[in-house]
Amino acid sequence: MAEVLLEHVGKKFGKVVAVDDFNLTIYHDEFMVFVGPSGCGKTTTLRMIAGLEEITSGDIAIEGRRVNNVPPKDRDIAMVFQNYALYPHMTVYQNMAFGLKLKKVAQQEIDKRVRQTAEMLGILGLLKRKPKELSGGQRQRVALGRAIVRIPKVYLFDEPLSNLDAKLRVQMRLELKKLHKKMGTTSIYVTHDQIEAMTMGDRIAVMKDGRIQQVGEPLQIYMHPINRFVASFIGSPTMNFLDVHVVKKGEGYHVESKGFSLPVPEEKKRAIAPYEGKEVILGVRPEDLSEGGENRGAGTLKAHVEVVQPVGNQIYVDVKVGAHNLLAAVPPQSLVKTMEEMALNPRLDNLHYFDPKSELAIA
Amino acid sequence: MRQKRKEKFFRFYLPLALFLIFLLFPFYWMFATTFKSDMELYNLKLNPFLIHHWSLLNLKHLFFQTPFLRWLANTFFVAITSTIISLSASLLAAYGIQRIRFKGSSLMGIGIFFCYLVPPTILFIPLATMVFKLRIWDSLWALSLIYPTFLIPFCTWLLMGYFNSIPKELEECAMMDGASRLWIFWRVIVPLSLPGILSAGIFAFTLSWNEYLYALTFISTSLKKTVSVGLVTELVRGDVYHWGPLMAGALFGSVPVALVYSFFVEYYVAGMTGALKE
Repeated sequence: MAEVLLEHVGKKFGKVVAVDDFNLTIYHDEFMVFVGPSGCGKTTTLRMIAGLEEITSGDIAIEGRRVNNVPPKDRDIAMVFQNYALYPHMTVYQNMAFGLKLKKVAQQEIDKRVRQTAEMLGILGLLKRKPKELSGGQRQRVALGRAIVRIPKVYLFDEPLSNLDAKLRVQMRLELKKLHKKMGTTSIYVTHDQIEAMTMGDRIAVMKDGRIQQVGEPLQIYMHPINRFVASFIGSPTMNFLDVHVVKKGEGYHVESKGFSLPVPEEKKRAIAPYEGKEVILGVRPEDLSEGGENRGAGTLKAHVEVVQPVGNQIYVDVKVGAHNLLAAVPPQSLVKTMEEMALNPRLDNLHYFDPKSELAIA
Repeated sequence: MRQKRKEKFFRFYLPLALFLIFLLFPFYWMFATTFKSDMELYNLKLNPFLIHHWSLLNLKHLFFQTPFLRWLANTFFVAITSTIISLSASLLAAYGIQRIRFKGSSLMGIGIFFCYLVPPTILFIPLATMVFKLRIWDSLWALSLIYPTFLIPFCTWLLMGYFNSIPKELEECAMMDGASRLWIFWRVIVPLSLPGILSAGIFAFTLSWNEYLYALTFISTSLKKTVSVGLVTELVRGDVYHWGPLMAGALFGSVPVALVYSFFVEYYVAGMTGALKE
């Protein structure tokens, strides 16, 4: 069982802390995605698992074996790099056979495995070419092939799709996911693209400033972000945040600001109670703001449309509600127009509340 | 259209032509002097830029009355051995400093650069003591071993720049595949750095080919001299300059260097710009 275990792993570059107290178990056959903004320590963590970076503190174990001081070649892992790292002076075949030759695998077996892998990736016709004669997508496949052909215990991917154009990226995303389902090898994938993380990961670890913020299944993180950072990072377009006051009205609570008052759902009542009379941060996802027509009852926001951005499957509408600027994602059939008034109904059950000091979710 | 052509002439072709004349004129002068007789050479009434009567006397003097061919062989020996020694040391030094990143590696890089800045006129005094103690005085090996003192710093810096242009991931990938440092060095770094290695080699070869001061200091026997020293010491007698054979020697002495450059010019340019294309 190729399980990867990281316990209190830390990495310092001089005085700069790159990764701090990283604890995570990546299960056998799992596709784990590390996601976060640039400089959050995700690539450093991956490189520590690979053995390319020494760890400052903690332990890393692969398949139950502590590998802190084990050189990369003895960890039985394969890595796909962002710039593909194909040897320019070797053909595709030689690139793919490189690792097997070093392992002294019999020539016949090398040939068989290279051809099988090349066929699986659709690059059988390219085996005699050199990397400079390949397109970006083809190079990507060769880099993948070079990793696959070795049949390692763990695959590490360091933003492998970031050099591809948008269309090819979507296609390769799908192929990678299919490939993982087919081979079922433990995989760790690093990306700064939250859509890539959401679509590919069995689980996602959201990172910021060298620390894990939240680990969970993609939808679980999307629905229940643990803090404001995760809420803003996961989901596109990004969540709207508003400073609001908690007010008690009858038996329930409302969050209020200039221009609107929204009831707090029954199940959140208990959590929000201590904040009565205080400020909290209200989080509303653009897709949770639906166009409300003429119904202007409780929980409806009166919005002034400032910019309309159609993106095809949705229309992004920048609106002003009281003193707040919000973004709403409405269906393409909407007749919303710039400088007009519109009514927005937030899905009250999907609203998020955050403590203004700790920025942790109030739940 | 015509205006554009005119502009190109003045901005490109004219400066280029002037530059070429400036650069190539010494070679023409060497060529013309080589094939003139002494009588024609010293006749001030004749146009000095033209050859009126072709003569092979200067070549005869150079090749049969001086050991020019021996000097040429000596220079080849010294240039090739010192280039091989320097390149081998520089390759390892540049790789170590640039990639292994041990403690003090960047300091060592700067230290090597400072070595290059020490003028040979200062260095040759302590070097003379060393050459005496090693008992290689008046031997070609003295030059083969001393030239690397200025070639290694130069080649190391050139190669450090080139290695820097090779993505680190290539090595990391090989490392994960199970390759050792030395294996990576030979099978990945060296093949990819060929343009850089060639340009460092050309430089080292040219610098040792043209070196004068050390060759003059450490070699005294006529048969062991290199071209640059041999010509000056054997063809300038007191205040008598044998211009014809001197220029013939200079012309034939610069042919090998010109050939080396013309063969490897493409690699040379790529090496200097550190351009590695996948």
